[in-house]
Order: sequence, then structure tokens, then C-alpha cells
Amino acid sequence: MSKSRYAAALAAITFSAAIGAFGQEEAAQGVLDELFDQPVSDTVVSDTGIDHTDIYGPDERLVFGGYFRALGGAIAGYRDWPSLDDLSDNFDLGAGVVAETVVSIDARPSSIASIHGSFGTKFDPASEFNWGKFNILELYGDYILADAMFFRVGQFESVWGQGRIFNPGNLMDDSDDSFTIRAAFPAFLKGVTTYAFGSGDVQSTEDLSYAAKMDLLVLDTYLSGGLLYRYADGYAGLWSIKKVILGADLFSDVVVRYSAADELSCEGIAGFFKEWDRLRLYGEYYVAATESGLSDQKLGLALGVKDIFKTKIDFAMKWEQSLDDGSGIWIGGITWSPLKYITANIGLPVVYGDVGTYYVDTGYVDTEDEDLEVGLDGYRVGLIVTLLMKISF
Amino acid sequence: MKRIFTLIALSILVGGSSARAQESAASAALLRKVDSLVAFMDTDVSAEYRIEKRDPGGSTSITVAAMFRRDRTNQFLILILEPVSDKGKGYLKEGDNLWLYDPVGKSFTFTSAKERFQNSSFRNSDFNRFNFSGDYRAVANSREQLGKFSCTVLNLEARNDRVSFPKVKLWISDDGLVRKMEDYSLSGQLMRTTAIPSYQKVGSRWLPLSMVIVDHLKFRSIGGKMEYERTTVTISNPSLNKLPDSTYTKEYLEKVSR
Repeated sequence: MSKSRYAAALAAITFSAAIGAFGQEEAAQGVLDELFDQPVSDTVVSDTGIDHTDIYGPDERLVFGGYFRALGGAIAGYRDWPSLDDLSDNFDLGAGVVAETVVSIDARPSSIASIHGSFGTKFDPASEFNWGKFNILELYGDYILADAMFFRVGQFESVWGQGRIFNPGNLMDDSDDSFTIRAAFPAFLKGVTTYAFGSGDVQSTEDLSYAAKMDLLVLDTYLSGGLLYRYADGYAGLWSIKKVILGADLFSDVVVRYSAADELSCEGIAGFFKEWDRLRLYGEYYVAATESGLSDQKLGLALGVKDIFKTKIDFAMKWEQSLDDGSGIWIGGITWSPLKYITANIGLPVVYGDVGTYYVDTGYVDTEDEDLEVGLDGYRVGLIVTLLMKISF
Repeated sequence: MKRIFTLIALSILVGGSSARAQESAASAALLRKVDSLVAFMDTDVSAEYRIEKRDPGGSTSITVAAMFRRDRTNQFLILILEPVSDKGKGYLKEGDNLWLYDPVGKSFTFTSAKERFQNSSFRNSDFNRFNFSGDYRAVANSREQLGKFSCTVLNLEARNDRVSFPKVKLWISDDGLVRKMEDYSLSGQLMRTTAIPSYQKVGSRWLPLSMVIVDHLKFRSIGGKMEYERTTVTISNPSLNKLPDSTYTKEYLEKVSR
């Protein structure tokens, strides 16, 4: 093609693109103008005086609810890399089923006090062929004192840290198996929350953990600092920062531990999170160090796409890589809800690295599959299919 | 002779810039009036928002939320009432920042107030009162008839980067109420059109009765006709009840979000 033909083609493309854009813009101008031809007249309304904070009606003062969940699954895969000589070598199959019932209660006698509880029992034919005893999953009361002090007392989960893939910042991760007292004073100590909680066997105040966290927003930047102390473990501090730039969250958590044995260690993450209408993308870098130097480094990247190809199927992919020993894991999966209450999942994990490396030893553990006891733990490559039925009541 | 020409030229220049200054001052005054008519500075305002989003081509989703606003401190709190699956989920705005509470993860997420509300064309920042006089300056004005309304049309450019859109075109009826808005990108692409055909007066201030928003970035050609995502917002049951300070706190949001 001669130079002049290139120029003519380029001009034509530019011209048609400009016409297209102009045409679309033109079509968009004046849109909605028809609403002003005969609009409803402006009106003066009386102040209804409605208390919109009372979002739960009289019939919701005492609410019982819960759900029943049945999960079945099967896995096929190789516990070590398949050999072309004998494809059955290291091949393994597994299947499992588990059912769970959770009952919850919400009592809201007034706007300043409420109680929430949830209790669960499981039916796992692999271990015992009957329903177990009901366990307390959560049971706590909220109370607002003098419109200035918020208290939550009972068994509940508190979460610190910002990581979605690695979350070393969650210093409270063992706070949900016993009782916690949490107090916040937004009227005169805005952003400060204090905690005292027990974990495991609590015999004296020395078995309790004490924590405080402060959140601040400075120049559109989220800053947070937290401190946890337990007699047996020593001190742990968390510093967090987050800034939204061009619609993406950029964040970092740093945890420093000073143990009761005078040992210093730290770990942290730096990551990003970006969400579009049907797409989520996030990534994190994890690093840990002791007094003798760097002890661990990992990378993680995850992607989630909702309604792929305009179907009702969601796709997700996650990749984690250890920078220390070269091991890693890749998992891709799809989720589909063909019927109300029914969700099907298909996952394909691949674990790589030498025997004894981090990801080969750890494998992939998913909390839902963990219940099945046929999880992907221990597989190099596998295919897991699960079917979940969940009915709320 | 030369002097006379110079004097004439100077007086035209001075006269022109003086007229532009007057025009600019009038536009700024109009923007202040627009803002003051919808700002509830002496009390809290709360209301129920029904947000109906219609995707191009058909499917419709409805969100109902309770909105609590304290204009003098630039705060708002949103609690989702419907769909039932999202009931109790909430948003708390402090300044330009927004906290989202996720009852499942038991955690707060700090994010930008510019983002879409429940994935609709309505943005979190649209719960705010208008602050055109603070965030924008008028660069041009004209008169235009918009259906039954005689309007002043102002072309605005942002004074800061905290706003959702760098350029806005406003149609302001003679009573000082914004009837139509076009939001533009920096390059001048039309992003969103909002129509507010009717208002309701509560106490001495105004709230929209209904708003229709068209998202020009979300469209499909259906039967040869361009269809855009369209969001209709209806505001009802306004209340001027004074609310406790604790309403605008993360602790309160967490308490009601479950």
C-alpha cells in the first residue's frame, strides 16, 4: 500500500470514528428532556417526624432465623505429579458430605440495647452418624450508654488488618472462641476501640489479651494503629495505611511482635484492590523478618469475574508464590447457581515446588471444603466439584 | 486620532472584562443560591430512598435505603433496607471518605465516596447536599427553555479533584433549583445525565422528589436503538428529627448492620 493510501485509510478511520463518537454524543444530548414537559409540580410536604433509625419494625423486635446447609463434593487428582508411564500412579479419589444447621436469634428491645446469638450443629457421616451438640457460634449484647459509649460483650469475632490473601494484621484472629469485652467512645475518643478478651482456657487475668486500636483519616488517607498485649505472648503492634488512588485501594499493614522472651519479629503486606462492575482484581506482597533477617516472602494475585460471557457463571482465579523456596499454587474455579438454593463449584488447583517447600507442604485449604474432609490438601493437581444447598429460614 | 482609537479600544476591553466579571459574579451568586436551597444546616435530615436500576435491555433491581444527613458536619449514614439479603448493610461518610461495613466479614472498608451506590448510576456522593459554589466555578452561561422551565444554563469546571466529575452543565430554573445536570469527563465526554423534574419542600429547604439518571457509559444497541442504563431515585418520608451524634459513627453502623 502506498503512503497516500495509508493516509487515506487513516483519514477514513479517523473520520468514521469521529462521526461515530459525535453521533453517540448527539444522541445522548437532550436525553430525559421529555420529563420536563409535564412534570409533577413541586410540593410542600410536612415533616413526617419518622424515626428512620428504627429500621426494624415492631414485628422484628424478636427474630428467629438461621439456615440449613448441605455440602457434597468429590475430588479426583494426583498426590504427586502424574507419570506418563503409569497414569494411575499417585492418582486418588475422594468424596464427602456434610450438613449444618445454624439457628440465630436477634432481640432488639430498644434502640440502645440488643442481643444477637447464633448456634450451630453439624452432621458429618464420616465421623459420627448423627447430629452433634449445638455450639455457640456467636452470642453477644450491644449497649449504648449515654449516646457516647458503645459496649459489646460476649462471644464474637473481631477482625483487624486489610489483607485479603495474606492477613498478618489480624491480631484478633483467636478472639472469637471465647468472650470479649469491647468498648468504644466515639463522642470523646473518636476512632478508638478497646478490647479485653480471653482465648482458650482462661484461669486468671494473665490469660486475658488486652488490645486497643485507633483509626484516623488524614488528608483522605486511612491510618490505623493497634496494640495487643498478652502476658504469655508479649506485645504485638499493627500499623496500617490505605489510600484510594484512581479508584484503586493501595494499602499496607506492618506488624511488629516483641515476645515475652525478648524476641523481635515483624511481618507485613503491601497490596492493591480494584473493583469494576463485574471484575475484582487484587494483589499482595507479604514479607516476614526476624532479628536474623528476612524469613519469608510471598506474592499473591487474585481475580474474580462475575457473570462471565453474560452467563450466570462466575469465574475466579488465585495465584500464590513463595519467593523463598519457589513453590506456589494456582487455582482456577467457577461458581454457578442453576437453581434457587443450589450452588455448584468446580475448582482446579495446581501446586508446584519441591517436596518440603511451603506450598507443597501446606497445599490448598478452603474453609468450605475443609468441612468436607476431602479438601485439596495434599494434592499436586486435582479437580474438585462441590454442590451446596443452602436454605435460609 | 491614534489616541482616540486607543481610548476606544481600551474602553471596549475594560467594558468587556467588567461585563464578564459581572456575569461571573452573577453565576457565583446563583450557585450559592442553588446550594443554600438544598442545605439543611440547622438540623439533620433523613428520608427513604428507593433506587430502581434498569439495565439496558431489561433487568431491573431495586434497593431501598434509609438516609441520614447532617450537612453542617458533612456527614451521612446510609442503611440498606431492601433487598432483604442486604438489609442492615451500611455506609458512613465522613468528609470525602466513606466507610462500608461488611456484616459477613465483620470489617469496615475505607473507600472513596465517588463510587457507585449498589452498582447503580447513583453515586455515593449523590447522597450529599449540593456544593456547586465550593467545588466548581462557572465558565459560561446562557438561557434555555427546558420543557415548562425557563432555565439558566451554567457550564462549570471543578476547582478541586475531590468531585466525581471535572465538568458539569447545570440547568437551573428561575426558582434556583437544579432541574437537569450533565456530567462530563475532563476530555468533554458526556458521562451521565440527571433529571430532577420535581422537588419537595421540607421545612424551609428542598429535597428532590424524584431523580432519573442515565449512564452514558452503559448502553446497548437494542433493535437499532441505543438503550442506556437508567436509574430512578424516589425520595419519600422526609424527616427533620434531630439525631444523636452517635448515629454518625462506625460503632452505630456496626450495631445495626447484622
